[in-house]
Amino acid sequence: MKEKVLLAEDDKTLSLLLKFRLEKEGYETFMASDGNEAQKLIESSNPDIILTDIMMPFSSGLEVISFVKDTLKRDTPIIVFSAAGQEEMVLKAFNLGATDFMSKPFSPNELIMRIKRILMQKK
Amino acid sequence: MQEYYNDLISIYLSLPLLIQVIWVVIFIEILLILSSFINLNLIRRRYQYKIIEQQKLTDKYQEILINYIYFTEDEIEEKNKSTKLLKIAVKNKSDRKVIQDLILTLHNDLTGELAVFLETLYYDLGLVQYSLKKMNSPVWFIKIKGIREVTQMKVKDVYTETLMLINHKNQLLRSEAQLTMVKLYQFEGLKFLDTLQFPITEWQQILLIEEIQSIRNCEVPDLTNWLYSKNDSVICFSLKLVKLFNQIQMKEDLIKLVQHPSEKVRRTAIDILGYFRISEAKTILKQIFKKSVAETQLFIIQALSQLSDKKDIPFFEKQLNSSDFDIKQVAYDTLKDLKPFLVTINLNKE
Repeated sequence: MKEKVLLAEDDKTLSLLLKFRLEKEGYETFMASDGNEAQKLIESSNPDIILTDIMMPFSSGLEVISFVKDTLKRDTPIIVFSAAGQEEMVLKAFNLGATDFMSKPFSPNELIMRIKRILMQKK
Repeated sequence: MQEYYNDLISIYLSLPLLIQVIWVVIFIEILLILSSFINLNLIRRRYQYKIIEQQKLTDKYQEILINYIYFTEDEIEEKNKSTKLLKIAVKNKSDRKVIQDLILTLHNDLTGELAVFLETLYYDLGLVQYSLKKMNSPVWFIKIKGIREVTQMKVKDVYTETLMLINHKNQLLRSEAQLTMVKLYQFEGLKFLDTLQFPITEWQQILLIEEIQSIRNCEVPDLTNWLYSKNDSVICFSLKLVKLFNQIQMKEDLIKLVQHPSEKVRRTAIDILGYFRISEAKTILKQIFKKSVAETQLFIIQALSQLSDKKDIPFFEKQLNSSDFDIKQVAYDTLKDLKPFLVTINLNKE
């Protein structure tokens, strides 16, 4: 069975690019363009890993992490994307239960490696 | 109906002149409001249409671009087709804008081989030419846009074009051009300092130094010429580079600058002499101390405190009588290090 990845990112071009890459790697990908959509998709699709941007419309990546860890009480690994100057946000994300972070700009190859490593550890 | 209009006109004509004029003005204003309302609506609709069209184009080229990025070696035919399609598309202004924005936005978020791929694609599609066109535009903010595009896509053959903008009358454009010189050509780009006629602001110096600090594996250029520039801000900036790269071998030049006509240059040079602990500067620093204003005196005494030994005790003792609190404090602190016991006694006496 394909492993499920939820990608929450408001930059449509970047999310399409990542979706394409993730699907090429054999993952089933769900895309959300804002925090609210991400929360709904997490609840309904129960992904194996979540990739979320910190700054998103409606509700932020931090709220998404809090929703997974505190409301749903799931231990789904979460990788956070942050832009330069968001170091404090990254710390908050780790405090809320994020597993890893990647600073933008990043390499999709590196992201895939991290996803594989985290999912391997989970098994 | 005709009668009704005739009545209206006769009523209007029977009114006093001022009231007639007011009625005309009201009528014209109503007409103006109505026409503005219609115009605004038309503009709004046109704008909405433009946004929808642009969104359609974005969706179209987004898909083409992403497929293009991930084409494998077996899909060479499809890749060639997409290249052709994109090359034709960039000839159309609105399509080009969308493709250009997509590449630039994506490039902003990516590093590694994909970023390099996008840079090559930008070049292959001929988008560099359009960025260069922007750089040659008479409008300063379009020039800035062009500069930013070539910088982001690491287009190296814009040296002359960028150098020409170094002395532009617009400060923002100048700053952008200076940063581009360093970002694209690293130390080689610093040659703009030779011809720079305008002062470099403190903030701009910080930005330039930040860029310079990110340069890896490059030999530090000879900074001597810039230390004798006619532009004081170039001297101050070069002095900061001397400090940043520990160019201690330039001590002779630093000592000379202690007598520079500009107060700012003098202070920066004095600060670096202290930082490098160049003891040969002690004599000249003491000589100019008396002639200097209080603020510069503080720089001098701070530098001297870094260079001091027991022979300097009389000089610092003399400064204990200074009317400037900061100078007195530096003198006390230095004396405390040089002869701690005596200063404690003096302080107790006071």
